[in-house]
Amino acid sequence: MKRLLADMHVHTVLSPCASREMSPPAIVREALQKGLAMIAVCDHNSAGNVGAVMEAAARAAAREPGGAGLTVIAGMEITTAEEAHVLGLFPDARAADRASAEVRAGLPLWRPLSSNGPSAALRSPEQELVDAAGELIGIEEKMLSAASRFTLSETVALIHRHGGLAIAAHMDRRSFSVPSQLGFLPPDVPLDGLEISAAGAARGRAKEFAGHGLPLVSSSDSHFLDDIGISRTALAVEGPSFDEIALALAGVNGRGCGIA
Amino acid sequence: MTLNEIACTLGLESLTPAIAAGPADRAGAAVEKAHASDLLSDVLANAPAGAILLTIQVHMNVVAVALHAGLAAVVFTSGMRPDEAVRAKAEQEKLPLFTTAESTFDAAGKLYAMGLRGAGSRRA
Repeated sequence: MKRLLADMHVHTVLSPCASREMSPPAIVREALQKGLAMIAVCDHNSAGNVGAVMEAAARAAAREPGGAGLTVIAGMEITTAEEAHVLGLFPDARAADRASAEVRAGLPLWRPLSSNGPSAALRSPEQELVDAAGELIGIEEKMLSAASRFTLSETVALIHRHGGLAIAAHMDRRSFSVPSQLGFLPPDVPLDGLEISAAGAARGRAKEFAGHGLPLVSSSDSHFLDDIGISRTALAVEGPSFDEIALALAGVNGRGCGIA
Repeated sequence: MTLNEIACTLGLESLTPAIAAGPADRAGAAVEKAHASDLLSDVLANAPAGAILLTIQVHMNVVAVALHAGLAAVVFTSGMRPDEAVRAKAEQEKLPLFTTAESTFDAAGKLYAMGLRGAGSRRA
């Protein structure tokens, strides 16, 4: 069994709140520099840039045969109808795309703001769909920061229907977390794990969430390059893959995980 | 005002008719407080005991949180309606639920005009 470090919550330029520097090649370079074996690309309510980051990782590996390599997991950070954030990790980009299409269908369009309107800060952010080189190939017109039409239970069911793993994001945060929106973690939602934010993990808050019988992970939730890898999950696995993450979260066959 | 009078004045639709305006021992009790919030963590932390909660949050947790916070009733605004499971649970727990087509702001304004008050200013 190997010990691999994963950052399972990284945004790209597709997320309205992410920095323009979060392009696929830059994310891959940064993750490799930080010694990560795996990252999961989890933009808000879309898996639109997942394939591009996977391809960027494949190109980086081709340039450096024998290098450590970076495995990119297809993911998405879904905003439930209650405005709680839930990470979906999927077996492959196609499964993520199918889940993404279901979420996207229920999102509102960006309300166009008039061009003689207020400051630049209030203009619609560019939700950039990019290729593996980071070149712009399209702009997402749906409002990715909006709540989806799926409740927490429905979101978890949707993720599972597409073969994915559902992890409640940044459980310790006072906004957009299941506890902030719903007061407490409903006992009947079949989540696969709970994420503790980087700040929460640094303050030792993980123990507050240990009583749910669910594995705890931590990730960076990075919107800026520098933040990639600031919080990580250590996985005891045979190798870097979605299937191994699933086994590690389930804690079976000698696999396991913990906050690194 | 009692919960019955408030429901009547605002034209609230009861979702828990089997318990009407709450347990018999509370039906005639005056309701003096209200709280408006969609974040149940905020309700737990800040809603005054005995208050009416105005919310668009229809998750099952609203019932448990309302009971924990000792609320008098929950009013779903903007026409929001919870699932039958939520409604049935509230009825079982004797927590009155209502719905109104009015927005939270409008319903809160009317409750304020009727003399109800909220948690007041939060100390820094």
